Amino acid sequence: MNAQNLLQMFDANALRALAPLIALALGLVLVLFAGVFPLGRAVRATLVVASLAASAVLHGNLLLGGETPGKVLAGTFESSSTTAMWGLVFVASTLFAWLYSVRYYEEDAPFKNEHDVLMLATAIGMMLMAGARDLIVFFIGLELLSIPLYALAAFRRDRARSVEAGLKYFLLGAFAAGFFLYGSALVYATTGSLSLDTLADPAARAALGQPMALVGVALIAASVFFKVSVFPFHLWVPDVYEGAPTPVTALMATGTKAAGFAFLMSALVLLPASTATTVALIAVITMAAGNFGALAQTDVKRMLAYSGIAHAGTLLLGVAGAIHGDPSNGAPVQASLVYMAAYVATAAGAFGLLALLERDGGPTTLESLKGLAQRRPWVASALTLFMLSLGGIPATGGFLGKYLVFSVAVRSELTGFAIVGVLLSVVALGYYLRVIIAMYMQSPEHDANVSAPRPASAATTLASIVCAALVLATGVLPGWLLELT
Amino acid sequence: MELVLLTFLPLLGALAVLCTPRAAEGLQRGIALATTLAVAVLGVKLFLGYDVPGGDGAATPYSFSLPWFQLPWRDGTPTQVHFSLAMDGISLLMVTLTAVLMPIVILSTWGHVEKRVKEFMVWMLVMQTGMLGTFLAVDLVLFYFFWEVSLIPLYFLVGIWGGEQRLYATVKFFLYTLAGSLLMMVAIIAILFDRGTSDLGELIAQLGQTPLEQQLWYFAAFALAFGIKVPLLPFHTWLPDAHTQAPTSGSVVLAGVLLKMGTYGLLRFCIQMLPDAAVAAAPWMMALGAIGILYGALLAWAQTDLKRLIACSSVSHLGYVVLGLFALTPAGLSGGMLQMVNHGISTGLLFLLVGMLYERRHSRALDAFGGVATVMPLFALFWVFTVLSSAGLPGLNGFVGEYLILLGSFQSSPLWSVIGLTGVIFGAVYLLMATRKMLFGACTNPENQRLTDLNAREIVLMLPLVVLAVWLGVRPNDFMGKVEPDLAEVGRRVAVARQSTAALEPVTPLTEGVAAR
Amino acid sequence: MPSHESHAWLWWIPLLPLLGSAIAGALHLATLRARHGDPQASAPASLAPWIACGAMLGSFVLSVTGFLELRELEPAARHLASTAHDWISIGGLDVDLGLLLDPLSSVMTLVITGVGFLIHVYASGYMKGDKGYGKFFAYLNLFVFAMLMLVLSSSLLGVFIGWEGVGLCSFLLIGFWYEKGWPAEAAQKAFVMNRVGDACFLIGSFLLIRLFDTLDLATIAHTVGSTVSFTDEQALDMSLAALFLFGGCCGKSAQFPLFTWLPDAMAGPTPVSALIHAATMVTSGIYLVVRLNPLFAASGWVLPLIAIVGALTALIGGSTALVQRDIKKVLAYSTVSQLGYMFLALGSGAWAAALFHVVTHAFFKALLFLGAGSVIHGMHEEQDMHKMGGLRKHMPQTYITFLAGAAALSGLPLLSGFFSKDEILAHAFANGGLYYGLWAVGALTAALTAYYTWRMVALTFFGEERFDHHHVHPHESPLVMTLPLMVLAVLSILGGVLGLPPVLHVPHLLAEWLAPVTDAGNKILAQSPGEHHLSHALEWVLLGLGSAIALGFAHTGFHAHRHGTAQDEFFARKRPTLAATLGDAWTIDSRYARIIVLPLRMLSFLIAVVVDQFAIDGLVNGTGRTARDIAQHSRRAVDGSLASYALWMGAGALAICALWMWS
Repeated sequence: MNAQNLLQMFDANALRALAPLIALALGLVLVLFAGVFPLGRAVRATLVVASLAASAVLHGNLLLGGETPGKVLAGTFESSSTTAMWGLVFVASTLFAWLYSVRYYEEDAPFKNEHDVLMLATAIGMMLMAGARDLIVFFIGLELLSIPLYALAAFRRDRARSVEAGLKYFLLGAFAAGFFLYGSALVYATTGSLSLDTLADPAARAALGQPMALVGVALIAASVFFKVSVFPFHLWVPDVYEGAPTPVTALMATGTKAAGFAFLMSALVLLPASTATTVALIAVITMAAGNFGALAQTDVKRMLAYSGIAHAGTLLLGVAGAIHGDPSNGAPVQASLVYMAAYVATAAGAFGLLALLERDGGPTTLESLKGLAQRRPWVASALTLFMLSLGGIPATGGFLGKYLVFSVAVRSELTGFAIVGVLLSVVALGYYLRVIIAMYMQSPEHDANVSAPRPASAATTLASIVCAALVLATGVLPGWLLELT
Repeated sequence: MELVLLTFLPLLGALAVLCTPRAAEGLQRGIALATTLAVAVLGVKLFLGYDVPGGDGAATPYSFSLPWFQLPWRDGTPTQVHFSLAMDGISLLMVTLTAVLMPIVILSTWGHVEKRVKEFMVWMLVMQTGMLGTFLAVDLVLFYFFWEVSLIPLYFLVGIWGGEQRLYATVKFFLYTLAGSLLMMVAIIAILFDRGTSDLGELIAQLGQTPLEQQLWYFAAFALAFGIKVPLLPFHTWLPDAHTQAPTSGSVVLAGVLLKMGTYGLLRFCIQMLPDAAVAAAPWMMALGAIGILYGALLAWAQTDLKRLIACSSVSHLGYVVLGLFALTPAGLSGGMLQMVNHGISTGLLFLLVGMLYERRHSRALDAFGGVATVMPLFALFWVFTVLSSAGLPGLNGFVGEYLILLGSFQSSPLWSVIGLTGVIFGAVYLLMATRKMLFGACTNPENQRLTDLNAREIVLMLPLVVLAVWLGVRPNDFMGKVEPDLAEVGRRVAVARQSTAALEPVTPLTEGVAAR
Repeated sequence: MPSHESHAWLWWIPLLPLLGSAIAGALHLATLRARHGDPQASAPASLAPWIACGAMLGSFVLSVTGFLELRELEPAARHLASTAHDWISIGGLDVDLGLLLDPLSSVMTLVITGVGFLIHVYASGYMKGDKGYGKFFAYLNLFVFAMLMLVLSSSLLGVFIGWEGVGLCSFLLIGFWYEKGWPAEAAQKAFVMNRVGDACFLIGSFLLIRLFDTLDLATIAHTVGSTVSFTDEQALDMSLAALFLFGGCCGKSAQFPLFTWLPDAMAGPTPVSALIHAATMVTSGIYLVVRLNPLFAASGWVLPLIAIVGALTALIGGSTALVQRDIKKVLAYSTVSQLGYMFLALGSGAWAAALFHVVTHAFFKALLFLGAGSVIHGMHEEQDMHKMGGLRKHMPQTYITFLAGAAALSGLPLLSGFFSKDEILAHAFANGGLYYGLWAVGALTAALTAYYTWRMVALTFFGEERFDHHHVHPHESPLVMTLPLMVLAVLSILGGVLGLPPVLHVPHLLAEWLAPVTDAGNKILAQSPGEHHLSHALEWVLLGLGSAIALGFAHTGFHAHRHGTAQDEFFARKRPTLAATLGDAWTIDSRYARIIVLPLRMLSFLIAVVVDQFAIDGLVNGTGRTARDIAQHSRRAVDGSLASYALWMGAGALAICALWMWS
């Protein structure tokens, strides 16, 4: 196509749809250049926050501003209230991750603005993934998210674990990308289209039934499952999450997962109804893998990595319900949105506090948490709140998400899986409680290794307060969130 | 509005305590006591002000409702979840019990809570809000909300201030109860999806029509959750551990109120909301109750740890409640209801007394004592009184409840009634055994000779319960009069269900032959 | 039918002792503060006996006025009622807490308050100096309150209040000296065995509710009395109700198989044994049966059963009393035996006779116990008769009064026991058939009674002094203790006039007095065949026979033992097994321990350890452990090697492909 109609595609509507991404892109470029000038470093933080804020405002405008642009760029990208909500979720997760990163790096501080650039890039990637109506666009978003993350994971170059994490993530990620490309090729070969909307109409759906297409879809699913850490594509998660700098872990745990599920929810057309049971099965196995895996951990960060796997399983159960139930029913999308929103606040807060505690010395283990309630009462109480929310106890956002996702499953006659799921979440409480026990009910064996707590940075404090507030707000007065979604 | 005030006053108190400096323990205790006293006054005021709704039993004098949030339902139309509290006779009794018990519990902590007073008081007050909310909520989701929230404080109370095995006990208690609750959550999800409303009144009106099989599924889920909480045989093993490890005040609240949440749930949801299923399942529930009575009594008989013994006696006594409720006869229902209150008073007193002894002697082992009556005559007086009320001596609270329960169950199934009756005998056996080993005989152990008798605070904090025990025994009508209409209403629904499901009702082979018309 | 005119003053009969109990208790608590050290502290307690005796006297006077008031009325209209409030109206059960004073309850009230008063007076001397002085009278008065509630309540549930109340007080008083271990154990045993009976009582009450839908005693009695015929089911329910209520009586009135607690109950202070375990509480079973006599009369096969149990108990008690060395044990087993007599009477439908024996027995057995107490007091807490002997010189008043009691118990002609016992035997004989056998047992027991009574007298008051003169200096008890003895002695001697046999052509006062209550039952019995009256000749024969047995065996018993313990030792040597068996009450109690108590204890430990800890809790904890194990194993998969991760991914992708192709 020539430049002429290429320009035509960028009409006002398209710009409005892409504005949030563009804002981030601008911020990215500015931060990149700012790094060059000494003065620029000073304003870096402002630039990051400003661009994220701008993007958030634009998303908000899309969400509440009535008429949404809908499909733009020749129907390859969609901007709906749903994508806008997802966008807010992404911005939130990026923002939290960034806030927690502010004082996190000591020796790597000089490269902080590259770090920030990469973070902003991932945010753009997530938004592309969520809005993609075309497999290629999604792939671009996927890579735009992944490649910076590889770098971020390995950001602490002098730390073997960090580098190892980056490498592992990169290699396996490339593997997964291969899955995706080959899968989409197969889909194209059978249906002659990569547009999700084209694939939705009857003829294409029939074609999707063919074995070859099914293999394609399966490969695509596999690659997405890798990103959102679903069994058996989850094995990298513990190593990478543990090795990567904790703020980056927070980003991976929240943003990546959110983007992946945003796509799954919008790409349901690819999955024939017959796959529902298998997906549900995979979901339950994932929950089991995550929860039992976490139960064996003593390093809290690694434990939270496994808990992240379990949560991915829970969300996948919602996806299974969506495949099974009638697509007209918006409940599944809402459920996953609410779940993810609550999870972002919770997990970001939890990882962030871990980041804070790491600065008190060494990795955060159940051992090092002992007696924390006495040393840092506020951190302990916030961490308790996050743990309870991760466990889905009422009065926290976690409960609302859990309730909605499981109700999706129950509505789609997946009650059996739902029951197994809730029982597995009893196992989950088993290790969340351990953290609380360590903080409140045990005292350190010898106070020697307990170094005096360092004061938390303003950014960390702010982020934690906001996260806690969000968790409580969604838990006690869920109305507003349910309204938004 | 009173109900909202009643429910959240403790929470306000908790916030107030949070604002105090960690060191100001006296202030924290004071705030906690003041709050609970205020709640108690309010509760008693509500109790006295509560006038029995005329005949229809529909209008409850106190109620409050606000739209809370909307859950997606079928094809776009949402389910409106309300934050709605209401009080009928059944909840009235439970609420009053809770309100009256709490100040006593707080006052009892003077003796045994030295460390981290601030947190303790906060959790205690939060727990009271949770319990009151559970009894008052008339919205399924709201009920579940409070139900789960009331779980957490006890987890901390046992885990921080408990005994040597406290971590094991508290995790066991939490996870065990949670497992049941989560299955109940699935049932709640299903009910909401099925009915599109979470309002208890509407559900009570509607669920009667759903097919029996569906009701039985719901019933199973609810009964499991409540059965674990009660705790009903064979889900009881968390209780002795929790009780033994919990601090005195924790045990008192646990026995006095938290366990009642289970029996209350059985009555409110399993029976009132799902009458047909209740009728169908009644024989098995009665069997569990009756066997529980005997089992718990024999279990208690074999214990050597005083607290554990009382915990096992709780299993036995709550067996009475279940037996009575699922007799589904007027006498049985009323008896079960009354016994909930009685157990709260008697077992509460027992735990208080054991706690006072433990604070002096730092031992709960039965054979560590002997001849305590010689050195602590007042303690002996209170103990014997409590034991008698717990053993159901006529003229004290225990008797009327037990009699009604056994009568009610006799009317619907003589076999289980008679089996339950053996509990009357064994109840005397283990309680007197404990009393004899602890109080009587020569006081030889120098450790015991040094024991000092009860002080004024301890006597004062027990007196209200003692008065209640006598009052309930001599004039039970003063209390049950407020509940009778509602229980009669439940009885009517069950009676209707009896006829409708008469064909479906599977009569358990155990009651055949013995069941005399 | 209870009259509806209200006589509120009736409440003062039970309430006075309750008040007394409360005040005495308060006085006791007042002494607690300065328990250790200064003697002044116990000053308040010394008021207690005055309070308690005052309360007793008050309610005795009231009982008398009630009795006189009843006498004014027509026999048919002899009942004064007062209903306080509807006690329970819950769940379809409506029970009034009301009092009913009618001929039957007035007799019981008079005995309880009258004899009770005397025993209180006696106790004020006997318990002097005990550190629980005030507490003792609090308990004693509380007991009287419960006992009066038992006999005055107009509804069965009210009776049950008293029923368990007396059980409680009995528990408290048996264990009064709890510092000694065994009284506490005896108390526990008594309470538990009574509980067994009470459980039966409750079942009986359930059945009555099913039959009559009320627990009002008068209504029940009236309904049964006026109903012409019952359906088979009703008849069965009635028999069962009667049976279970009798089960309750077995516990309270120490009948076979539940009698074994009574001998142990002697661990309590002697006045307690006299009041509770001889005169009043143990007779409440008889009261209940008489109160519901129409029900029992109509209960068919239950009546003979009662008679058999009664006769058996009489025999066991009497034979066991033969060889006891503890003077109180002799009296205890004698009480068991006499209670058996009363149930034999009830089983024969001789309601009046049973109650007659209750009254006379109350007189002479209380007398004997108090006498024994006086002896024990004078012997410095010595109870073994083999360490007594020749005491008649040392304590003449006790000796004389004791003789009167013994004579009455052994049924020597013209004394109270003689008439009541012979009336029972005559009624049993009159029923014929099976009852001839029961009569024979009764007669045998009469012989045993005469023998052991006089053996006791001989061993205690005659023969050489077998106690150690250096340490023991027997002395007569103070007047406050001997005065009640004298009054009771007079009553024991003259009590017979209440029920002189028909052959003497004088009215049977008690029977006539009770007629309004017992007629209904008698009417029902009259319908059943077999009930025929004895000819005068036969009655004379029985009377003569009775006198002969009593005199004969009293004589042998006295002379066999007047010269000391030789006879006992001879018997123990000659028939060691028999002696042992009798001494242990036919070893029934020890069998209970082996056959019932031990297995149950085993069961409880089995449940606690195996079922609960191992099985059920093992399952719960096992679940948790399994979860942890799974977790540990699942760690192995995550070995950190890139290749294996990639492998898993590839395999996973393939698996998903395969799954979706098939599904």
